[in-house]
Amino acid sequence: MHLVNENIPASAWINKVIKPEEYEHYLVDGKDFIDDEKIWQQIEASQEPSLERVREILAKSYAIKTLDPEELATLIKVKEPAVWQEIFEMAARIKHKIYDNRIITFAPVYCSNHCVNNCLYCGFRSDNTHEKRERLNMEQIKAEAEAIAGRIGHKRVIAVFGEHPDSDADYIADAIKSIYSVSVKTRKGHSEIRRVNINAAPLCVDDLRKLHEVGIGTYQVFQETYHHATYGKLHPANTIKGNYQWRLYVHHRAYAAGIDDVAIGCLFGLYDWRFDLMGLLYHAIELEQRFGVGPHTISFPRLTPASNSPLFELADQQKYFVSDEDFKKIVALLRLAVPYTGLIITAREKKEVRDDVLPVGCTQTDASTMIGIGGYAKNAGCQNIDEQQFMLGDTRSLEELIYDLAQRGVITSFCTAGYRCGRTGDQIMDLLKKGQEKHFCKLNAILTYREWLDDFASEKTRKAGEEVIRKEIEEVKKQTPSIFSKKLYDLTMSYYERISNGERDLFI
Amino acid sequence: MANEISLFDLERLSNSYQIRIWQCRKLGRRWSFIDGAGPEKVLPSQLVYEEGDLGFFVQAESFDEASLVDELKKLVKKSICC
Repeated sequence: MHLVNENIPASAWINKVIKPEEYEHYLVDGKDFIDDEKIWQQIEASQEPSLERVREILAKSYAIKTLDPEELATLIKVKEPAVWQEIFEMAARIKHKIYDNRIITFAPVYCSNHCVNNCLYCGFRSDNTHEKRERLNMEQIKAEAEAIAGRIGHKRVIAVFGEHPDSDADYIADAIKSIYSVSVKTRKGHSEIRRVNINAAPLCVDDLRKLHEVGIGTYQVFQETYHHATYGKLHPANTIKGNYQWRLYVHHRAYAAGIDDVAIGCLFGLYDWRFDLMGLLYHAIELEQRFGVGPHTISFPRLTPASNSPLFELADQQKYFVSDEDFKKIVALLRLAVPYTGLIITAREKKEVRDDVLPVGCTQTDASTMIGIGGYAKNAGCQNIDEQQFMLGDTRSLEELIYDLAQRGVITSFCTAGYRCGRTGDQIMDLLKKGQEKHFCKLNAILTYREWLDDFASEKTRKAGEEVIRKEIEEVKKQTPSIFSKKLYDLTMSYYERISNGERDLFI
Repeated sequence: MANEISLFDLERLSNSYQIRIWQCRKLGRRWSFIDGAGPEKVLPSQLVYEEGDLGFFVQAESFDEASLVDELKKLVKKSICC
């Protein structure tokens, strides 16, 4: 008998956690919204489109309208490099139209790698006896937050938890409260984590309410792959993750619990990338249609070697691995398909890849990343495969990333203003769809960048950053009063002055 | 925990003061949107009234803040009584 810990049989625990009544009512004739056959038909039915047809679809996307699955399938069929170039350019324009020239940064905090699942691609899987298992207590979690906020300067984190009775909703809620409780004195002011996003197992509505009540940011759960048969193959049926629909409908339950922002994603490389890209779009459309609010962000990690993971040994799996060229297409097509949604690229990817795909649509990234349990407080400078879920491709510090972005004229934003004044959920979605959110983002990026430069930057980065700020303020001035009222401009400048004098957390 | 006021009342306040107004619930360190009325404006968001964990934010060039707060107080009180 398989045990989830020394006392609890796995089957009993799974039956206790999964509540079929919380997802079965969403099914139509017993089926979920991912129709494998239909998706393949759409992909295979599409012919290579004419340039005229491609441009029609791009125009729809530029008008900030979610694409239909048939339209995405059509773009997938493009073969001509020159047409792809046009697609990349439009993706970059859309990104700029909605989000301006800014990148939001965050840090992942791995709180526990105890896991009852046995996913064939994951270093945390229960059969991996090489993995060192750790679960941080609240003091250790605070130490992580202190290091992230006080030493690196991030203002938002995503806390990550394995699926295990030891990391249940109460533990996650306590972790959120612990992270929010930290404030660290800095060179000129103070620093704290202002937004705690969560990546955790699918929970039931009552448990999700607990996270809502303590101020969860975005609740992120990846489907891994949308292809039913592949999902079944990679997630053994006797594990809790083996239930495809319990996972697929977790964002529905999150909305039912009152959570404003949810995030979807899948792990590219488990199945054919074209199918999973379509799956992500179907998922976004389902959330939009049912709740009026699509996903706040979409993640699209690529499979990377994990410690002792049998999947990498399977020869027939390698046909699904995603090349750099296809990866760029995935990012650009996501930008076009769901234009209002944030796209997250992580430090799994090498610097060269991140540099290449950031402009075609990404809005968020991580830096100074540690994915070992307790890695920030330990200040472990190197990666240890026996303590990680996967290997990182880019180990740049936040300082290095900010400097590199500044050289390209990109402003790094630490803005969490939406959470300071309730611009969340359908409110922010509405602003994004109208292309208005970027105006707030622009001003808040300037203010939070100033904070970071004063508190954490080296002289070299401060100089590079101040040049970016100078240009940004110049642009704002030019757009006053046509976009920004005189009152708003004056207020921003007075906040800027106050921040320079050590005040913190001022926002528009 | 204070009760929310109705969308109908938010729309009435939005029209009468020519403002964008929305109500939020305070959760930990953050505010969570409930609902709101009036067109979005690229203007600062101002927290005008808090009752328990309920907060009201406004975007406007100018408005009679004292009068609005007075109305909000009455509406929140009414929603608690009901």
